Amino acid sequence: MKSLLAIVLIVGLGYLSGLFLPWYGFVGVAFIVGMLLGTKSYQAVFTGFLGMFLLWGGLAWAKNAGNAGLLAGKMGQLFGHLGATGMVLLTAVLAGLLGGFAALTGYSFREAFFSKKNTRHRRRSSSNRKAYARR
Amino acid sequence: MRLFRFLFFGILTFGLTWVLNTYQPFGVPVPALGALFDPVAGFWANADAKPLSSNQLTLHAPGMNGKVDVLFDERLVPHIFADDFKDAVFAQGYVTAMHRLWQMDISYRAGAGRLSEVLGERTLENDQNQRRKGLLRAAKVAFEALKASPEDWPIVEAYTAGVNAYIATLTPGTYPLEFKLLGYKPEPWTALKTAVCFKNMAETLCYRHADLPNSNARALFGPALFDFLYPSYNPKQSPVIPATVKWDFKPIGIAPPSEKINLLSQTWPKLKMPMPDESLGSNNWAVAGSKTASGRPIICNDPHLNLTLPSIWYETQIHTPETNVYGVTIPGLPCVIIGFNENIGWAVTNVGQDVLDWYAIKWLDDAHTTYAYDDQKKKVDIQYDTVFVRGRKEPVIEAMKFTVWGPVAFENAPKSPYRGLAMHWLAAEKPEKRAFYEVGTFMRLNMAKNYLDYATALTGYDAPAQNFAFACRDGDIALKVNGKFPIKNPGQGRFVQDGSASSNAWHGYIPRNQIPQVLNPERGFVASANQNSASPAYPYYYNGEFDDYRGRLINRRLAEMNKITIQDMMQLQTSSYSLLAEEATPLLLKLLPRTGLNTAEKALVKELETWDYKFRYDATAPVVFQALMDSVYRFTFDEILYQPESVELAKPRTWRFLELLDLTPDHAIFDQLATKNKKEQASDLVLEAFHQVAREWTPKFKAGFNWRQQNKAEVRHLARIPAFTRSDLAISGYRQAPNASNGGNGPSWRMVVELGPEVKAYGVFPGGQSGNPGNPNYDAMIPQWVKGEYNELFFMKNAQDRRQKVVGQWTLSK
Repeated sequence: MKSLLAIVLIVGLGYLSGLFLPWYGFVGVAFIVGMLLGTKSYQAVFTGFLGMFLLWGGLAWAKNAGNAGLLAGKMGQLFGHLGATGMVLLTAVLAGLLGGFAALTGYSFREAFFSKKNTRHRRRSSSNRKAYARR
Repeated sequence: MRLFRFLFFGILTFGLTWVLNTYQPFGVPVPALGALFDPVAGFWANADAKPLSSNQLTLHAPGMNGKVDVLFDERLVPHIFADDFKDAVFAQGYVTAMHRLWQMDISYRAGAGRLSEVLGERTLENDQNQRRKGLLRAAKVAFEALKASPEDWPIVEAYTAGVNAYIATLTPGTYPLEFKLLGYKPEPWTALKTAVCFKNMAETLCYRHADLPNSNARALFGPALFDFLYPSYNPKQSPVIPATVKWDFKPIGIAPPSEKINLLSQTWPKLKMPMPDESLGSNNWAVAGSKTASGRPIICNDPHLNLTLPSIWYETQIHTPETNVYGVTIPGLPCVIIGFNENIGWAVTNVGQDVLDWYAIKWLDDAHTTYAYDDQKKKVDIQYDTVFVRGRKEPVIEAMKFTVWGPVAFENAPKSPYRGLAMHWLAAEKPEKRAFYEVGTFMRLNMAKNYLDYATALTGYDAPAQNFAFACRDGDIALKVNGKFPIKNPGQGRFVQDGSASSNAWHGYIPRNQIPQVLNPERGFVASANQNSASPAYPYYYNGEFDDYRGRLINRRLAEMNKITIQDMMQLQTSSYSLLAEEATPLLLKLLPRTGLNTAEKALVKELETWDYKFRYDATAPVVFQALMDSVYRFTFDEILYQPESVELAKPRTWRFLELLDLTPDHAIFDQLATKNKKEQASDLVLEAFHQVAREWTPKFKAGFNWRQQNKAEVRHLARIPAFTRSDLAISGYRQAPNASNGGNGPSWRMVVELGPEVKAYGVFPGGQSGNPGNPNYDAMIPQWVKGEYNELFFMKNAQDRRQKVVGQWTLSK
């Protein structure tokens, strides 16, 4: 549930940041979402990656469809002769990678500064994790 | 541990973000990839969904007097309707910038020597050369003149304001694509930049010079053989102004030359300053109603230039109370440069006269700060110029030396007391004070109603000199070889001159009423294709580089044609028939001994014998012809071509080469240096060349090679990005044919206009109005252009005219 919420937030807030902030605004978004909603390292990476992959990939896909692949096909020639679809995927992966790292950084930030020492052992059992979440 | 983990991922994320937001991170030649791939503001934002961004738009632009309607047709040509010409030019600046801002910026930078600021080290030499040529300095001089002109200045100001009004609307996301790829921002347009664009035009068209290679050839061969190999006038020439025109004026007399020293034996090293391609050229003509099927005059133009994307030309219509004018302009220049209005049409080709002369400088000190000038010791004027280079902390300071003649291009020629070289270029001169200059010329042409208006307009125009053809609805046709021309002694400016004698300066300028010109000639047409301006009977001496084949062919065709239609004119413009091939092929075949040819060689002979002299893209005869010509030329002038690279020698003209083959086939020039004990004649060289051509080309023809692969016609992106370039075009043409397609050069705009109560106008250029590679309009007209098809130009009568579709309706107001 948290993962789904994280992905939705990254897509939504990432989109808004793109309208008002420079492109790297989404790094902050993924960081914050990772910090607030991250449950595990791989979960943070996964949500950050998928959220940004979907957002940039989706936006690029829409732009590419509207342009019938014209510009992406040309740009693809500059990037190892990728086709237009390849450029959409590359866009998505690029944002995904950075989104994943940013969310992981956010999650690690909370782990480093806002959780008590030795919580790692306790959090391994689900009851403890619920207890942790309630706090 | 967790802190370490956080720091590790934190630094990684931050570092990755930094790398993706940095242009050329760690020197790796890639753009800032994050910014570039950003689907909101990166390259995706330039992937236009529609050719025109909005169908309806109302914009408020400060700096206008009233309201302007801009209607876009389906090819995105803006049709500007204004109550005031200045407002129309403001709108022209706005829409031109909307489609071509990066092109304007990069062209200005290339001219002014400011490329390295954004492109780094690789363009530093180009920038230094531009500064040394004094192009920016020349533009500043022209700018001062413009500023003082009551006619030109308001137009340049309005245009500049229009461009800047567009730039003010930009955000990083809406920057043209190339700014994003090259990682820099647009900066405001200025009147000085427009002046630089005019000087760019001058550089492209009148910067060529041959003083050094001519001097070197004269030193190598001696004056007698030089004159034999390099005669200055082709007896077969058919000059721009027909020989029937009589020169009924008294030319200005000048003192004969008083060369103090003999520079005959001096050779000069090759200059490092590149020149524009010599194969640039153009065609224009106007035929009188007496020769046309409709009884109305027709005017045509196709300027041949180095073809680029975004396209060189931008189509525009301007409708104001004074005029209704349509045509093309170069982004950066206001008004219509080539076009027509309801009354007249005008068309331009370049004048090949030499207006750039070199003077040898005799230094009087080892530091090269003083030089001899008559009996004086003159000091050079040292000017410091700053070239900023991206990636360098400190700018490069360029010290330039100026003499009375102009900038010093070269300081250290070996083995001579005259070791320096200074350049005197007409386009860098301060213009005389007058009411209007080039901008005023084009504005007046835009508004001209008759011959008198046209003639008056041209008096403001200095450089680059153009053959301005003219046709008027009332029936007049005319042509003026127009510009500022120096008065020279015979031979002056052909070779490097002694710069220590003030008497070697130009002797003033030819008065405007004495330039070569013709009004309503009996033959019923005027035409030019860069050939000699006038016959040797013209009272003033001029030298330069002139076409020998297109002009003669066009004059011949126009003379024999009658009941001419618009279709006929299009066929002539796109004709790939070459007079050079017509004259040279039979001559080469005559000289070719037919004994001992093998089957493959016989096949090639047959091919040349049956050839119609058209350079069709899918034919092989043009390849054989060109290869044979090149080979025979190389064998003939081995004396020249085997000289060391460092000393550049003039190459004899093609017409003279053919004349020698024809008239003096046993001349010593045909003897090859490499064969000591054999004395070759022309036919020996032709045979040897033919064997060589057959050996080299027969296998390639079997593999399907044809003229298309040889000609390599292409339209290149200005930053040479292959993905934005259109290559391998199947065009039938040749540099010595009316359709002068030659690799990256070719007809940059084809226009055919019939004047009359209803103007009928057709045009095409290889590209599109939009300069955005992400817009379908970017190269939309290239297939048409290749095939020789034209668009019917939508010359709107008023803002309500809907004979063609209007796809956008914009309003600009204060």
